[in-house]
Order: sequence, then C-alpha cells, then structure tokens
Amino acid sequence: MQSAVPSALSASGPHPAFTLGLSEMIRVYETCVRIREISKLQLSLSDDMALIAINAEIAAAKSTANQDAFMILANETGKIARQMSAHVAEALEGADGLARQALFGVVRARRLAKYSKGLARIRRSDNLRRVERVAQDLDASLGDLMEGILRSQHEIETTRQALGKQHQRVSRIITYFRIEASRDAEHGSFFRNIADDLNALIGQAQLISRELQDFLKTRSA
Amino acid sequence: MLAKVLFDDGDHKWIVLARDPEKPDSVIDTNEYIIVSHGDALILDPGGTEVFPSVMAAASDTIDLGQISTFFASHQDPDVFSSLPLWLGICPQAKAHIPQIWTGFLAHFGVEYVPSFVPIPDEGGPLPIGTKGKTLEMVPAHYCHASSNYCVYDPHAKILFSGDIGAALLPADAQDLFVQDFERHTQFMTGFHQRWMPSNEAKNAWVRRVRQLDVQMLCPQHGAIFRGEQVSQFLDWFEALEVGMATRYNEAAAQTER
Repeated sequence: MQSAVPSALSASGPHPAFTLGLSEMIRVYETCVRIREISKLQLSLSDDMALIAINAEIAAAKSTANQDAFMILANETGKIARQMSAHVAEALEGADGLARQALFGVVRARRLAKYSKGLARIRRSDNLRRVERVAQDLDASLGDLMEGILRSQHEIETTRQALGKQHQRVSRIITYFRIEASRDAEHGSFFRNIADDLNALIGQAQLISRELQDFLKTRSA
Repeated sequence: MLAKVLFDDGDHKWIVLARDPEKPDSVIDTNEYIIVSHGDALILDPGGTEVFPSVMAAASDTIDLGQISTFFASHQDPDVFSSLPLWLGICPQAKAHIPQIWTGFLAHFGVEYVPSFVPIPDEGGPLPIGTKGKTLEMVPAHYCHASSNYCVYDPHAKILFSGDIGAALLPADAQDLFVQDFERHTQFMTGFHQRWMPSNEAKNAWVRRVRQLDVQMLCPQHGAIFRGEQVSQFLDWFEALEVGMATRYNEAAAQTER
C-alpha cells in the first residue's frame, strides 16, 4: 500500500485547484442559452422591420404629395433592416456556438465534479497523482473553454453595440416619417402607422438589447 | 463502500465493491467486480456516473488504477457503464468490451471513446485480462434482459458474473453481501426477473448453458452473491419462473381495444 495523501487533499469538498464548479458552469450555460434566445428574437424583429419597409415602399408609391421623400425613407428603412439582419445573423451564429461551448463545459464540469469527489477519498498517493493529473487537465480545458466563451460574448457585445447604432438611425427615420406624414393630408395616416409600427419595433429591440447587455455584463463580471 | 475479496490464489483475484453508503436513494444499488490477474486488472460493469467517485476510491484502495487494462459492459444500461468517459479519462489505454449491437448507442457518450471499444460478437468468446492476465469467457445471455447481453465466466476461479440475472432489489438496510437464506431471498428477485426478463425461451437456454459450466459462485450486478449449492438452487428457481410478465398488459390492452 502506498503512503497516505496530504490531509489538505483528502478533505471533503471541491478540490482547491479547480476553478470552476458545476453549478457555475450550469449558470454560464443558462446565460448562453438566453443569449441565443435573445438573438433569435432580434432576428425576428429585423424580419418584421423588412416587412414594414416593404409596406412603406407601397405606401410611398401611392403618395402624391411627398412621394420622393417617402421613397427615400422607405428605402433607407429597408437598407437598415437588411444591415440589422446581417448583424443579427452574425450574433446568432456566435450565440449558437456559445450555447454549444457552454454545453460542452457543463459535461466537462460534471466530470470534473465526479473526479473531485473521488479525489477527496483516494488514499493511495500513486492513484491520487494519476486522478489529479486527469482532473487538472480537465480543469485547464474548462478554463480554455471559458476564455472562448468570454471572447464570443465580447464579439456578441460588439455586434449588439452596432445594432444599437442602427436603432438610433431608425429612430431618426421615424421622426422624418412623422414630419412628412404631417405634410400629406391624403396619405399621411399610412405613414403615421408605419412610424408607429417602427417605433414599437424599435422599443422592443431596445428592450431586448438591454436585456442582452445585462446578460453579457453579468457573465463578464 | 464495501470491498470484499471473493477469490485469491496469489496471481488471480476477484474483488467485489458494493453497498455504497453515499449513493443517492434514487440510484439503484450496484455491485462492481474487479479481477486482478498477473498484474492486469479488469472491471466488470464499472457502474454509473453517480457511483463513480465511490467506486473509483474503493478501487483505488485495492489496486493501482494504472493496472486497469480492460472494462466489460454486460449490456447498455446507464447503471452498467455510464461512467465510461470518467474511467477512460483515467485509463485511456484500456479497452472496453461492449456488446456489438450496443456500440453505436454507447458512442453517444462521446465518439472519442469509440477507438477503445472492442465489440463483443453475438456468440460471445474469450475475454483476455490485458496482456498478462488469464482469459475469461463471455457467455451469451441475450434477452436476459437486454437484447444483446453477456455473462462472464472465469474457469479458474469458477465464478460466473451474471449481470442482471440473479439480481435482487434488496431493502435499503440490507448489508449481507452473500445470500444467507435462499428461500427468503427469492422474494427480492421474483418481481425483478418477471418484469425485466422478457423471454422464457431465452431464459431457459441460458440456464441450460450455465448448467454445463462448473460454477461455484454466481455474482449478479445487483443484490447478493450465490455460493455453492445456492447456484444450482438459483438455476432451478429461475428455470421454473415464468417471465415476460409485462406482455400481460399488452394482451389486456388489446382486449380492451377489441
């Protein structure tokens, strides 16, 4: 029989060398899944915006008083919707990868927890060293994975900020729609409705964006 | 966790690990068997993820974990080998003998473990313990209960690892590792075998096959171990038992539909 292990290593509870527990990894996973859900919502909002842009173009074609102005606004709305879709698609791809990475992390953290629990009871120093090596490798791989997750989250945050700028542009367009609508007695109500729809949509997008920001902040912390 | 030597002639040794006191109540109790033969070690039905820390720690008290060269899974159930990724993490060179038809299912634990799999053909065959140890025999026990299922016979120690055959769902406070009173013990086996074993034909074929072997000890994955005369008592009892009881529910449902 080999010599007994140092008391610090045979103590119960998680191994001191391990940095990430299973419950923490599960929280990371849940956050990543939520980020993916939010990204999907953003995608659906940009699709809705593209539809509003088409409606605006149709309304502009019917307008007699301010056709050129309305057409410019409608085209601009469509352009922003397409840019938003591209940004969101990028974010969604990142969020999918994030959720996958986090799920791998949960599996690894669960394994690490089992090794950690077993390590606390191993009395033979040769076996202890063997299992410790495996656990430390797993811990290091979890650390790498977490770094990857944080990098992906940073990229999603950059995309979120870019989307925020698009939201500001849409807010300006809404104002112009309202101004132009007030000058068109015949078709003004069409454009007021379009402005209202866009306004509601941007309100939702901003709320979602803030939620995403909170999630990303929580994770970074 | 209890560790008991069942056989030891100096070069070849059977150890059972059982009755994990830290096992959650919701997890079925399992017996894990370690065979150390001329320096190489084999674990039969290494157990589920939930009991892995206890099994690993108990195994560590009896062997150098580096000795483990071989794993054997009698069938695909999670209590049999959901600890596969954990064990192969510690013993990456070890081979895992797994019923051929279950390999694709067990690959869901991670395709990176597939190179460690050694598929067991339907007819069974030799089970070498590493390169130095004795060779055991994998005995087909298909449909008892899994559709591809094996027992392991050790002609040297005259021990048969029977997997779920002979299993008993013992009360939580039962500590006996060996069957003390066969008649009394049957109450803990009857329901299990009637429900889990689907085919009388398969069961009786297995009984006939095992009767041809010289078995001094019959070691199930759950419950208590049979010794000496109890082995033939068990075979007689099992042969007489009507199994596949759940088909009654199918028949009842079919009658209702009619």
